Amino acid sequence: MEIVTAAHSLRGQILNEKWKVTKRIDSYPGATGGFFSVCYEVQNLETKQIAFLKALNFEAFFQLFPGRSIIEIIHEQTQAYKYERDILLLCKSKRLSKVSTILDEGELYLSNFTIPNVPFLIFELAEMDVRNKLNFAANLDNAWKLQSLHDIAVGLRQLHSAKITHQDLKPSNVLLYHDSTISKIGDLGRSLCESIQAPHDNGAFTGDFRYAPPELLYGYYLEDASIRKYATDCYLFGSLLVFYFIGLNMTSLLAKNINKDFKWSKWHGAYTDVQSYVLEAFNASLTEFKSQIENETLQEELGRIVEYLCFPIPEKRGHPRSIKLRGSQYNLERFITRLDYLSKKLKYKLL
Amino acid sequence: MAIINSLNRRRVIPNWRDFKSTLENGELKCQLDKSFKIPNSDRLLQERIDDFLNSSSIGTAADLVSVAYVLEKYENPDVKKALDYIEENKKSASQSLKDLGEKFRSQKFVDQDKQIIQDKPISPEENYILNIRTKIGQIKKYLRLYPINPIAWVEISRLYSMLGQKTQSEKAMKIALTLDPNNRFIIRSAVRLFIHNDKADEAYYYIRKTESLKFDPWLLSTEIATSCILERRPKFVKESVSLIDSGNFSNFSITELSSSLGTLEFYEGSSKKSKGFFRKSLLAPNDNSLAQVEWISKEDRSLQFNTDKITIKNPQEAYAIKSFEDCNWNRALHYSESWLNDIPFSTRPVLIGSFVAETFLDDNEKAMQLCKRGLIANPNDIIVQNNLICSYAQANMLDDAVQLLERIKPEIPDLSDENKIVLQATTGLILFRLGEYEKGRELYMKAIENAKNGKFEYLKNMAHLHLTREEINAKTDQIESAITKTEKEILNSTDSDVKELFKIIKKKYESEKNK
Repeated sequence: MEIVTAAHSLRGQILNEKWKVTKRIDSYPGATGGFFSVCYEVQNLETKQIAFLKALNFEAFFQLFPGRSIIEIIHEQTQAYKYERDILLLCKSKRLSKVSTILDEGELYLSNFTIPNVPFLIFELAEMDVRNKLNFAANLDNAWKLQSLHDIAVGLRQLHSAKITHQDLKPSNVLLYHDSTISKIGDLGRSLCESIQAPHDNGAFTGDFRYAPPELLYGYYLEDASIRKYATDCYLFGSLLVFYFIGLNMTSLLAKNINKDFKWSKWHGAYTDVQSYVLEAFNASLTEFKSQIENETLQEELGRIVEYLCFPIPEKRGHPRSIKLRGSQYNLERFITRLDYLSKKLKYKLL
Repeated sequence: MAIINSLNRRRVIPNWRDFKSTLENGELKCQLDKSFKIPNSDRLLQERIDDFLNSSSIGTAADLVSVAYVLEKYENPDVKKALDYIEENKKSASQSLKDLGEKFRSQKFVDQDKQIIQDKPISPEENYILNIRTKIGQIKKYLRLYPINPIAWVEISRLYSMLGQKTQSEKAMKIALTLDPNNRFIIRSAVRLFIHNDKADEAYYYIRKTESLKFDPWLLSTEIATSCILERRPKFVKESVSLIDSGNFSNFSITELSSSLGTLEFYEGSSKKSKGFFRKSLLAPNDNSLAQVEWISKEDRSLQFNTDKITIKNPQEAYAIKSFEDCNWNRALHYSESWLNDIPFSTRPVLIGSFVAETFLDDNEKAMQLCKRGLIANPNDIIVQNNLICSYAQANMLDDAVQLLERIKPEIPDLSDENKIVLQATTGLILFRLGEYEKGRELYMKAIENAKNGKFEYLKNMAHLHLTREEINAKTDQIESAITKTEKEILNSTDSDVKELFKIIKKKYESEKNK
């Protein structure tokens, strides 16, 4: 039986005199912190815009977590909520058009409950995450895929210009809007920001190891964290591109192509000692990726983009010209230009 | 006079195979058996399962299968549902996705077939050179796409060395070393190449530069062997001994290091210590350490090890040495041939094989074939050319023999004393075959004299034996005295081939006498 808490009783409530909570929903594309939050659909009273609400459920903190103190959990979750809110507000203030951001936020007080406070965040409602749109048959939807990837690259660059690195870019965090014509980056829950201290920032990788770049899986961290996190975003974007076309991300493709003796789950030596073998597997992965793109020009162009973005040695990752020039070698500008060019060429059937 | 080789002391220099074979040998494994497991993998998988079950699509199925593969969760029933979904919707699936599905279904997660640049060893049969050139072309094409892949540079270097193209081979190897100067496969391959090209000092330079030298038993072993070739004291003997004693490494990881230390002690005169190291090396030997034990057993009859029950990958060299020692000539030839296929740029299998074929099996065709193959990788090797001359002479192809001998004549003054002796005897053989017995005998005698003066016991015995054989073949009046002299000379020899060859010659003599 479900426990009735303030967070579970928002249906029908008016929030910030602007939003009516219409119905409860189970999950939502790009949403995190599921256990500690309750999700709803809300409607703007003036514009009738439908949006998504995530309410923090304080009472979930008091459920049993063997081996963990309640103080620790409350601290962790409230900090996480605060961080997500602050970072989303920062994105909103910077008008990041390709990042799924909040429309509103606040805290509701429902006096009938033991814990009456319900902090909430209201997001744009996405149609779905990109996984429900993708088809991996060769040569299908390529123009759309490139346009979507272009949007995501722009979103990532917008975040980087706001000194935010996403760290958790993966298919489930790519959200589609307006009949799938616009793609945006969702879920900044694991991001890192230079101006806001992230509670999860322990100096290590904050994202999802299932999609992590190889160097992190082998325990190799670039000393300078401010560089490392951009290198990670760079890889994650390249890996996402691979997923768009073949349904495997670069990490799983590497796992498929690397010899078992050199896989991160077996290798305990230094990354420098295994690097050449990872590079060998990376080259095999690139060949495999390219072989599934029928259009020769696209095959070469995308192969190059993936090679630059996902290069397994983080010091050599990035566009070669960006590496040579001053500024960040992980700058996405050149990739954005190329993706834009390719998507337009495909759109107008010039490729 | 055909001869086995000019190797005085065998050192534990790494064998250089293609990347795939080296991998299969297990030499490139990480020393320590610890691993990284992605934390909370069950929960992470469950998230993707929920996504797939809540909204089944090819995208959520692909995401789940990819993640399951990274997390090594191969048995989960919900992952199987996703695989079925992909199978049912295969028109929307990529080839990679289908391949991955196949891997899950066949449970073949560990084999690797795409990564290796050189997928099959080159067959020694027809079109050998053409096949190598084709392979070089393929790797060149690959390198145009991936120019900073050091493994590919090592592979192409090896192929060049198989064609005897030293300059190209070294150039490619140096690129690999620049790209990754610390990689075990690259360093060990480079050391073997430079030593093969008589550039042990260069080999030593690269091995000493390696950052992980002190911690890697495979590299330490290489450093010891290279130092010994240069007649220098190895730098890390103490460290090597403590590394072996540390118990941090598997027996297989320290087999070459133990063998190298054993060899060092052996040549420094400490039989007891060396025996201990060799015993350790046999706990989990590889092809190199087993071959070393067989070699040492041949060198010193007091050092004998029971190797009969040992099974290893690529035992060709060890078996060839052992079969040679056991005077099992057919077996020795068979393993020399497969050893040459395994290490195609090496001259030792060519020399052993051609010597056995020509001297004991009367198979001159095979001897010629082996020498010609050996000359592809080592076109200027004087002893391989010598053995080919002998095979020509034995097969009565005297024009070819004389022609080749004339070609190498200008090089004779610069040869080592041993090689000069060998060529003197070979010239004697040709003269005998040309019917100029006196001159032939004279050259054989000169060779014997020089071998005596230089204290080359084995060469002296061989020259006696070959002279006697020629006297019998030519039915001269010197047969009796040659037999008596040879019998006396080889009396104290411990070399099994010397004794065996004498038996054969004596038998022939007796059968000729009885006719």
